Amino acid sequence: MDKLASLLHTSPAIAWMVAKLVIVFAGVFSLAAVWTWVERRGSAMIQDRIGPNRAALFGKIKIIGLAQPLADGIKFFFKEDLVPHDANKGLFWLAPFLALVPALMGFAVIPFGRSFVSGGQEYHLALLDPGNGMGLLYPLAIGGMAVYGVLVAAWSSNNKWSILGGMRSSAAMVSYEIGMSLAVVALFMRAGGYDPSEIITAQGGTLWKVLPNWNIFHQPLGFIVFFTCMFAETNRLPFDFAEGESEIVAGFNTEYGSMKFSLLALSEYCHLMTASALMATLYFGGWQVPFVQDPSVMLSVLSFLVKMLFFAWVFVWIRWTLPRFRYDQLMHLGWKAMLPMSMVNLVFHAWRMSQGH
Amino acid sequence: MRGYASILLLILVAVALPIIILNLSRLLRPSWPSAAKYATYECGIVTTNEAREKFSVRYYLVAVMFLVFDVETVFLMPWAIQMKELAVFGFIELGLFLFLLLFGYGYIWSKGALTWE
Amino acid sequence: MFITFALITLLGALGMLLQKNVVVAGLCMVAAFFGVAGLFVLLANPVAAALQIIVYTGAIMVLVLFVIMMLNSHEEEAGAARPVQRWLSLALIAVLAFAAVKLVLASAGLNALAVKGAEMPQAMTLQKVGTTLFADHLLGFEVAGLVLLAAMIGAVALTKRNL
Repeated sequence: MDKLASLLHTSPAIAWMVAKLVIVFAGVFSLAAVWTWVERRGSAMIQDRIGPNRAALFGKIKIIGLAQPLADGIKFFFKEDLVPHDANKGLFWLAPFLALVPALMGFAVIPFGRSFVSGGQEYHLALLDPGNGMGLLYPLAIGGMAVYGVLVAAWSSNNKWSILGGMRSSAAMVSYEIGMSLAVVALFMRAGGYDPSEIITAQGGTLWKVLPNWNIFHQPLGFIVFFTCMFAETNRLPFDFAEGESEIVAGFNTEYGSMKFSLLALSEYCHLMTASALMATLYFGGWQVPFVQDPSVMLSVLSFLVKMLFFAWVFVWIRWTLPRFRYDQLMHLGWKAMLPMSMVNLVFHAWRMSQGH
Repeated sequence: MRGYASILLLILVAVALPIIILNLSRLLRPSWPSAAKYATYECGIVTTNEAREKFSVRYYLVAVMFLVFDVETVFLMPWAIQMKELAVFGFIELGLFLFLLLFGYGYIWSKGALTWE
Repeated sequence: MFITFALITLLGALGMLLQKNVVVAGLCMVAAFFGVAGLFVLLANPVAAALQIIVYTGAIMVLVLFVIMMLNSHEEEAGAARPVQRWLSLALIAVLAFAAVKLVLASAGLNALAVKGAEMPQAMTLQKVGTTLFADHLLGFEVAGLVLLAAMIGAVALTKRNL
C-alpha cells in the first residue's frame, strides 16, 4: 500500500480510500451483473428448464452461458431508446439515476473484512471508516431513498400499469421499512452501539460452546422479520409488486427500454447485494469466522463473501420457489404480523436486558 | 468532516456511471422514430384516458402511519444504545412510550385503517 | 464544501417554489433536504444528517408525494394571489429573515466560536443523543409519544369517512 501511494504521489490514506472505493463500487456492480446470470441459471435449475447456455466468447468459449450478461449489456447498448410522448421527459431520464445511485451507495458502511495494521497505520475494510457517527443509520437512510426511483419512474411514464405498480410497491416498501428498522433497533440494544463494526465485534466467540455467537441465535424472531422485510425492500418475489409481470405488464418499468431499463434492472440487483451483505453483517457475524478467534484478513473477507453470496442466492432461490402474494395479504402481513412481531422482539429483549442478561 | 470524503467520491462516481453509460449508448444506438413507437403502451389498444388518476385515500393513510412509526423508531434508537446502562429504568421508560403507541396501534386496527380489501 | 451544500439547499428550495409541476417541486425539496444533510455532516453532526434523511426524505416527502399522486389534480391553480397577499407575505419574510440573522449573530455559540478560534467539536453520536435525551429531556420523550399517538388518531379521524 505504501509503495502504491508513493507511486501515485499521495498519502497512503488517500490511496487506500480510492482502492476501497474501486473495490466496493466495482465489486457491487459486477456482482450485480453476474447475478442476472445466476438468477437465470438458478431459475433453470429450480424449475427444470434450460437457461442461458449459448452465449459464447469469440464463438467458442461457452462456460455454461457465463458470457450472457456481457451479451445482454451489448444488446442494451444497441437498442433504440424510446421516451413516450405523454411521459414527463426530465423525470423519465432522472428515474434511472434515482434508482441506481442509492443502490450503489448503500454498501458504503458495511465492513467486508477485519481491520488490519500495516506500517503503523490502521486500515479498515469498509468505505466509511468505523466511528463515523452514522453507522447503521446510513443504510437505513439510503434504503429509504429507493422508493423514489420506483415512484418517479412510475409517475413520469404516465402509463396506467406503471402508476399502479409504482404506487402499490412504494406503499409496500414503506410499510415493511418499519419492521426492518425495529428489528435493527433490537440489535443496537444487544451490541450497545450502532456502528456495524461494533455489532460484528459483539458477535465474536461462541454461544454455549457449540454455536457461533451470532445474532440470529440471540434474536431469531428479529431475523425472521428483517429477512422478510428485505424482500419487500428490494422488490423481489414474493413481494415484487413494482413489476408483477403477470398482472400489470411490467409495472413501473413498462415504458423503459434500452440502457435505461438495464440501469433500473441493475439497481434491483445492487439492492439485492446490499441487502444480503446487511443480513450477513447484522445476523451472521459479518466477517467473523465461526470457532476461529482471530481470523486472518483474507479469511475474514472470504467468510464475509461466502455469507453474503449465500444470501444473494437465497433471494434467487425464493424467487423461483414461492408464488407472488396478493396485495391485501402483503399489507396484512406487513402491518398485522411483521410490525407486532418486531415489537414483541424488542420488548422481550428489553425485558431480558433489564433483568441483567 | 473527515472520513466522509469517501462518501462524496462514491456519490460522484455513482452519478457519473449512468451518465457515461447513457451517453455511450446514445452514440451507439439506432434511431428510427415513428408515431406508434412513442405512444404509451396499453396492451395494444389506443390509450384512452389520462393515467394519472386519483388514488385511494388508503395510500395516504399508510404513509401517515409509516411516518408516525418511523419517528417512533428514531426515538427508540438512542434508547436502545443506552439500554445496558438504563436497565430497569429504561424498560419502564420504553413501556410508557410503547404503551401510548400500542394504544394508537390498537385504535387504528380496530378502526380498520390497516385492512385492505 | 459549505458553499456547495448551501447552494444545493437554496437551489432546491427555490426550485420547489418556482416549479409548476408539483412532483418536480417535491423532488426539488428532496434535493434541498440533501443539502441540509450535507451541512449537518460538515457541522460534525452525522447523526442529525442521517436522521434528517430517514425522517424527512424517507418519510415526510414520501407522504407528500403520495398526497400529490392521490389528488393528481390537473387544473392549474387559479391565477396569481391578490397583490395585498403578496406584499404581506414579502413583508413577513423580510421580518423573519431579519430576526433570524439577528438571533444567529447574538447566539452564544457563535460568540464562543469567535473566542476559541479553530477548535473542532467532537462528532455527535447516538450515544450522546441518548445521554442527553434520558437525562434532561425525559418528559419531552414521553410527550413525543403522546404527540405520535395524536397524529395516528388524527389521521384516522381525517380519513374515516372515506374508508
